Amino acid sequence: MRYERIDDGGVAVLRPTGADALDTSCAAALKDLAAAAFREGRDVVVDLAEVRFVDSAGVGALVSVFKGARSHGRRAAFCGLHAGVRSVLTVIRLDQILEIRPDTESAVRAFTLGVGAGLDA
Amino acid sequence: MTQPRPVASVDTEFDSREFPDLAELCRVYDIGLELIERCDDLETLLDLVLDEYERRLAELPGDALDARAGEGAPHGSQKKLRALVMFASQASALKQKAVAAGEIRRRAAALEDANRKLAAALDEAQGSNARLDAVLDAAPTGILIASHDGSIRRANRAAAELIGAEGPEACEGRAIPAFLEGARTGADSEIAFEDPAGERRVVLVARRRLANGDEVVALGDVTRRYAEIEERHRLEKLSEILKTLSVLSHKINNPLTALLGRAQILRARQGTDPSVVKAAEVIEDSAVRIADLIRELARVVKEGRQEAVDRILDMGPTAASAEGGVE
Repeated sequence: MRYERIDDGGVAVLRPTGADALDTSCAAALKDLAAAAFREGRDVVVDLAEVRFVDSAGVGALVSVFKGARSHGRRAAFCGLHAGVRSVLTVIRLDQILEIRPDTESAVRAFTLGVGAGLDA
Repeated sequence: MTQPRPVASVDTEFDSREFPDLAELCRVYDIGLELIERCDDLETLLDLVLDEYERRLAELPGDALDARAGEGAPHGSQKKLRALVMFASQASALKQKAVAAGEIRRRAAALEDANRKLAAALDEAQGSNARLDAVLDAAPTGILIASHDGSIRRANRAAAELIGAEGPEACEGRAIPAFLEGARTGADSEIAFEDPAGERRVVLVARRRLANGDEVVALGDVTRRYAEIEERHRLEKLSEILKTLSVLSHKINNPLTALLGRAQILRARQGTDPSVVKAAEVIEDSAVRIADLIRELARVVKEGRQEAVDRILDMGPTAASAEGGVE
């Protein structure tokens, strides 16, 4: 799996491509890419449209990205969730914790307009 | 009639354990005591939850979350996953509670802030109102505020005096005085009227409509100023008359002196016809009387003019300001 990064203003969109699983093999790379974007002062949107399976390491990476955003005073959102991925997040209630948006555009727009900022996003 | 109490079936599992303390309760329900203690601090709570998520996810084998692994997953992994799910449920509930509490605190703080600002604005408004009352009360100009039906809502002391009321409070509810009917709203007018004591008063009236339909009426009493101006004009006229008289007396005096001299010469000349001498005596007597009159007139003119000038000088600044004020 590799990652595409598209910068849209102050937002870095990270898109895992080339494989359908976010697992141990690529979780660390996602954390690193997100950390780099936060250091640049950008918010991060992780577009999971091509991801159909996440293991515990993949979910851990999503949690780590979200934590990284908070520690840098930035925002992180996750979009394009397939049913299987969403169901995993729902089972462990992370859908209540993470900021989840339907697609990249709405996530970027929410960041740009400051919609849903804060913990109740 | 009381309902029979439900009886648990023999198949029902009853958890009859008692929890001696909160720490034990947390252990059983797989939730951190610190999470509960910090549930009113949303930021810390979320950090704790995320740390705990990371820790527990890291403990799970990769395929523990994979539905495809299903019941085939090792027993230890299933146990950890169940623990994670239980933790997640509690953490999620705590987060929701903390969000709600945070929102309530935020709204309460906003409300308190709004109340504080409102109280400050009210204090400021009351202060302004008190200052306005003091200014209105001390103002020499009468101010009336009338509602759209023509009744007086508020008046100051000067206005009350003008309309013959006991005081500002006595004006409230009264109709606008009849003498103001001649003053048009939106314009300035000069109105003369007889006050309740029967004295003639002159007021400058400005009537303006307020945005809420009320009307503010300003009444400037210029009665005394007008009287001073009229007096000044009268004295100026008198001064002019006296000046004319002075000139006239000079003009008369010159021929009169000549006439008197000629009459005296004629009377004194030897051998003049007695009838001419008699006539010369009559002329001389008349001329002397006229000269006395002229002298008296000159004295009156001199004193009168001086008095008029003095009075004009005395009232000069007042009259001048009065004229300015009237303008």
